[in-house]
Amino acid sequence: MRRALLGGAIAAVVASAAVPLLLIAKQAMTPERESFAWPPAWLPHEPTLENFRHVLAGAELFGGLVRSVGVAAATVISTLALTLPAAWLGARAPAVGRRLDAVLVLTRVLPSIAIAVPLAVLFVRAGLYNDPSALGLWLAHTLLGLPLAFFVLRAAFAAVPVELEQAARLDGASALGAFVRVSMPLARPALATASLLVFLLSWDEFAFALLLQVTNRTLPPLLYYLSAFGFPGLSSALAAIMVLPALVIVILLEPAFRSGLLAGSGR
Amino acid sequence: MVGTRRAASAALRDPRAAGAVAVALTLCTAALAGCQRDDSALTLALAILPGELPAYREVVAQFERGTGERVVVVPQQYADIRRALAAEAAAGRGTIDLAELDVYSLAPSAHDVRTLDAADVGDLPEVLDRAALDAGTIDGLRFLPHRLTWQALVYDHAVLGRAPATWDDLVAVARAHPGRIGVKGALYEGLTCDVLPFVWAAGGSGERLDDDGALAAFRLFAELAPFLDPYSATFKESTIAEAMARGEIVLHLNWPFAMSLYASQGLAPDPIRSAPLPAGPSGRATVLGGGYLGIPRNARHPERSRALLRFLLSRDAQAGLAERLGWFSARRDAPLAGGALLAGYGAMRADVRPRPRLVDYPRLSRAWQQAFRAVVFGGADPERTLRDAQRELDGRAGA
Amino acid sequence: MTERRAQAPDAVAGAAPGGLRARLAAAPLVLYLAAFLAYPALVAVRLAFTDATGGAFPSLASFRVLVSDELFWRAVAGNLVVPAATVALEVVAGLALALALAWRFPGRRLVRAAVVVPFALPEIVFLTVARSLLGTRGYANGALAAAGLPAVDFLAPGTALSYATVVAVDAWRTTPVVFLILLGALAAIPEEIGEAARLDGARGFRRLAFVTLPLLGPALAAAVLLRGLDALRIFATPMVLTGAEGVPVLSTYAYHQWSDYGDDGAAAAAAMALALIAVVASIPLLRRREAA
Repeated sequence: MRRALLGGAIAAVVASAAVPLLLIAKQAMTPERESFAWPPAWLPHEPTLENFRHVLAGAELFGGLVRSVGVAAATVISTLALTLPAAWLGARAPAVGRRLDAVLVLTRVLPSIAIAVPLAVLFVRAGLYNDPSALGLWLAHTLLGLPLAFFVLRAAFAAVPVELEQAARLDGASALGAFVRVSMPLARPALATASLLVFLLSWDEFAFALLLQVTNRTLPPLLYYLSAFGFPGLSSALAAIMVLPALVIVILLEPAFRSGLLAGSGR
Repeated sequence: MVGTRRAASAALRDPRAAGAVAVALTLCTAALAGCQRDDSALTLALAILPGELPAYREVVAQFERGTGERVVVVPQQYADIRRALAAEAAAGRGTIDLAELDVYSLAPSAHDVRTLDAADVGDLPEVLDRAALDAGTIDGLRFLPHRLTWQALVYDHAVLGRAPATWDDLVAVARAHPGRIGVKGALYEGLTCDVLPFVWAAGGSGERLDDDGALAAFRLFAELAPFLDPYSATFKESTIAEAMARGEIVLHLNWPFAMSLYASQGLAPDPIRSAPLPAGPSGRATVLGGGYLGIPRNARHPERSRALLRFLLSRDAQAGLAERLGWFSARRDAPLAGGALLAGYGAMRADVRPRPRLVDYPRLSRAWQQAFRAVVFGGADPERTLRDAQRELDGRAGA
Repeated sequence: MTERRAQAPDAVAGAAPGGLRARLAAAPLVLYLAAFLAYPALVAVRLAFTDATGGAFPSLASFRVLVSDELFWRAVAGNLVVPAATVALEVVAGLALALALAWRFPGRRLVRAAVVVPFALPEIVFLTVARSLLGTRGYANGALAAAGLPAVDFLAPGTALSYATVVAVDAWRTTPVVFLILLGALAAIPEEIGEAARLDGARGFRRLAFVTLPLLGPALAAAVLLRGLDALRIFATPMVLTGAEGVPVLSTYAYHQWSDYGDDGAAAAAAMALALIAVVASIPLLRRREAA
């Protein structure tokens, strides 16, 4: 009985992981002419790389790739810059930490559309709407990344014993010095985790990108439009490109998953 | 807490890796900054398909060779271009040098673009179709017709044999192929473009929901309702085109882009072809659409934009577009686009009508959309629905 | 013990000298939130109470548009039914998977990593694949046809099946989160308790019901609250699979008003309605965090 349940669970899990990946790979390698055959084949008859070539050749598609990477990288920098001091304070002064927590929870509670629509209106007035460098989107993504980074970093700083910082201060270091030279190095793994999580958040983000960027897009809305217009090959090639960093990051984060670090953060 | 500690010490990263990551991040951010449109190229925002882009670029390449300018073509949807234009006008600066808008968006966007004076347009007013020119004149000439489009019937020749020529034929086809007739039934302007041709074909004005023509058209819709593909409730141009490509439907109305799409997918001219819309009691009709070019108010190089505009509307360019993409031109001296691919469209040229030019058009359009959905997806009685809808429109107008 | 307690206030004073200077550490974050969260929220409220056609403020015109729109009410209903069903399904599936995969078996690390894949994939990628799988002429129906079975219209607008499909796809994508939470909690249950239960004669189902589940209680509650809030904000899944008119929820309805009609006011009003539901639903979560 137990074996049967286990076997069933394993089969379901493997299928649910393998099917999406297989379909993306298959559709990406299928020339568009074959894409609408019925019944749909599970393997391409004439695998080709032309879809990838189109993606890299098209100005909008390549620009979208650069934009996605750039926004994600910039978001990591800005999110960490804003969160590091606040997370340290939140760890050292639990009362402040709880209040910050409550406020940050609001970004998870409020629906994206409730923030995206007024942001779009404000950005139009400020000239940030549909910016070629996706500045407006970067600002929005930073907002989304704050709770995640705060949670991870605060837990890490709380794990650094206060005594170590105190010892550094007794040795003549300033508060900032103690923070930089003692706490930060010890929290480095958490910094790495937070960076990867925030990068992935920005890389995958769809709702704000759809509303705030129209002619200068990032990859997720591009993928949506391409697949809605019936370009399965092209959109799957784009999907394959999008999937790579995501899988890499998740593999890198596996130890963190195992230690339950993300138990409360749930993306 | 304990787990975090363990993860912290066990997964301690090498300081060099951290440095490498920091450098990578900075480089990526710098690359993003480089995304700022480079000043020397002209940016043209157009609503064309990714598949049409290469052919369009060939035409534009002639301009580039002749003037040494570089032109970047950004394919978009009209709604998005309109928003981007509004945003740039509000911000006082912009990146778009020439924008294409659909005829429906011209009025709201009129003040986001510059007026064109006689020097700018040269002899174009003489060669362009009068009605098309009028549509682009709002508080002065602001838009010039880049291309004209209208809808035609797109059908599966292999399954149907020939396209339905009358409303009775249409009903017969629907009965013979239940669930395989598509209508763009989502709540948006595209639905109005599917409704008005039938209203006009029955003699209705399109401006009132309760005239006889509207009633006749909605009776037809009610008759077709049981045979429509259920996904019609959410179909838009793109998804209905995809459904046709997948063979889920055998007939629908669409703009010429669909034929280009099918050609690139190897589905046209066989089995998918175009045909004129079925004729109703008062003949045939179809809705005028099309792209109009305007120079944004805050374009960085208005002179160069004007040069590109004149080029795109020149006889050679329009002929090139007709030949490569099958686009219809507003120039009276341009060769007719065609070929077998767009035969249905060409045949309807004389039946094209613009949408009602009312101030309150959006409200009227929404009324048509909701009436259609009530009758077709909600099973409501056509006469009562139309009468109530008109009454509500009149009531609102007074308020 | 007393030494440590005496150190505690010192710790804050020592590590963060001068309360004000310390508070400044959090200032950038708070200012950012004020500028990009609080201010837009206020703008949204203003938009919702502005008449889109006239610009008059305050005005209930946008709300009147909503109230008279049948699609809005369907979206409200959808926004209550879909999240509830999704969370229920993910919790059950996540629990089943956690229980099944908690045992030691060869290759368990690989299988546990595989569980995470649907969540690890970018949302839009996963949904695009789901759409190509479940369309009228998609891979699923292709397989059914090959087996000689009739096609199933998974995403046909207006059917209960389409709601079920959206729920299933969303749960498929987010079950890994519940799985991870519960797996962690299961691992934290000391071996001795399981041993003791077995010695006391509790086996199989009884052990599950009377020993394991109660111990998982807090983790389950946390998972439900967390996922419940996220599920209320559901946007991409119905948007990509069925469009705004297929399985309507408030987020897609707001987007439809924004994108198809250019009606900022109605979009903001619908977003406010959703925000209200979310805030009311989050009260238990905030209370829990206070207690923690």
